[in-house]
Amino acid sequence: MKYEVFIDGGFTGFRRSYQGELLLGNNEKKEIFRTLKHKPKPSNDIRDGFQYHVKLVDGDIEYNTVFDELNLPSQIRRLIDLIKLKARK
Amino acid sequence: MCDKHHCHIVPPHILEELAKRGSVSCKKTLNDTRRILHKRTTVLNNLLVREQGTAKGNRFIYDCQNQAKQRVELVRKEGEPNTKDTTVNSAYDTSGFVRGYFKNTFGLNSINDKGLDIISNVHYGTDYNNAFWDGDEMTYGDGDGIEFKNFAGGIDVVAHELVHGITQFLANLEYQGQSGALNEHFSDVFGTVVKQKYLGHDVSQADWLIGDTVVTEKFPGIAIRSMKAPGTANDFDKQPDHMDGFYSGPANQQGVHINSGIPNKAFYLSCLEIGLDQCALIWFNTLKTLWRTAEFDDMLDVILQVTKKLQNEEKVGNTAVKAIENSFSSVGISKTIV
Repeated sequence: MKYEVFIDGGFTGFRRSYQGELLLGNNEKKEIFRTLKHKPKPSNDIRDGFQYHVKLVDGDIEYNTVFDELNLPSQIRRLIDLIKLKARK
Repeated sequence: MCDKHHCHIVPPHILEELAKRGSVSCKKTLNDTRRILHKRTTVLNNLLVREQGTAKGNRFIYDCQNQAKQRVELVRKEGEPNTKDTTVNSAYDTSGFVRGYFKNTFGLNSINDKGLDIISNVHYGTDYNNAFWDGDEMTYGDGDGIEFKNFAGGIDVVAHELVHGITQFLANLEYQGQSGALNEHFSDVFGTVVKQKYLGHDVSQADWLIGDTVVTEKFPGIAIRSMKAPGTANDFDKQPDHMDGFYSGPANQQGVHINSGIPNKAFYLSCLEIGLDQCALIWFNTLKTLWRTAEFDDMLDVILQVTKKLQNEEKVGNTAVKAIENSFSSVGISKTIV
């Protein structure tokens, strides 16, 4: 699965970008795509929160969603943590 | 026209114009509109977590235990002694210092002037490089230990986040574009004011840096932002110090952390001329007068009106108006001549 993630905002205001490919099991992918089907409700009063721009492509399937600090689903947060860890290595 | 029962039928652009002409009730209505909407959707949650009518601006510190969840465990509340966790104690002490500064200087009763409890969440997430205000409470990460560390440990960071709360209740500046940059600006202004008070510095001793204590030695810079020299704090610092460098792109909610460098520099220049305390008084009264959609030109109009009033009342010196006007002019924000 290909990904493009950029994390914008926060107290620092720095943008971080991550791009690459991850090998995930079918169940894991299904769970992530199921989560991404729900349009997140933005939290208007957050100041200095991160904005998570997540684009995932798996064959013909493509999801492009923006999350904020309080509506980021735990599955997607875990995925982003994994991507950040991969980038650090 | 603008009493409690009629303002809801007045379109926002009319409220905005009336607010600009000095209508306090219209400004309040404009500021309250989105807050009320948000409050309706969260009132049930608030009822579950907070006793109504008993708020005394007390401090509550929660340990998130490195989960991406707030209020995992209450570890210290008002009046309780130090814990073994220095981050918890630091969040408790610094939020108390900020609360005390606003109470003793401006008579403000906590964040909303109505004794709202001050809730801080520490140890949020894993390697979390951030601190934020969510409309209700503050949340701090520990940092990744590589570039950033303990966001709850910086007095300016704590003041910055708490002032986002104060701004929400005073001007409710919209968090995008110029009004968003002003929102960030006020948080940096009182971040540096509180930091100087905390450290016992005067304007000549101050470093005018924001977030210098939350960056590590490996971080490519000395701080997150500089109010004295915007754009120079680190290798990623894109803050302009003049309207010539105004960022008009879409990133960072149209540059809220970028364009704040422009009024930040004006604040620094003003402090050099008339001192920190007079500037803090002027900026606080300006924040009380601004409205949700205010932009840089509105800020200049309002701050000059506010300063003239304070000057007439002999609360600031008789050079204050000129000093403020010159400082804003130096960064490219000047009065519009029609």
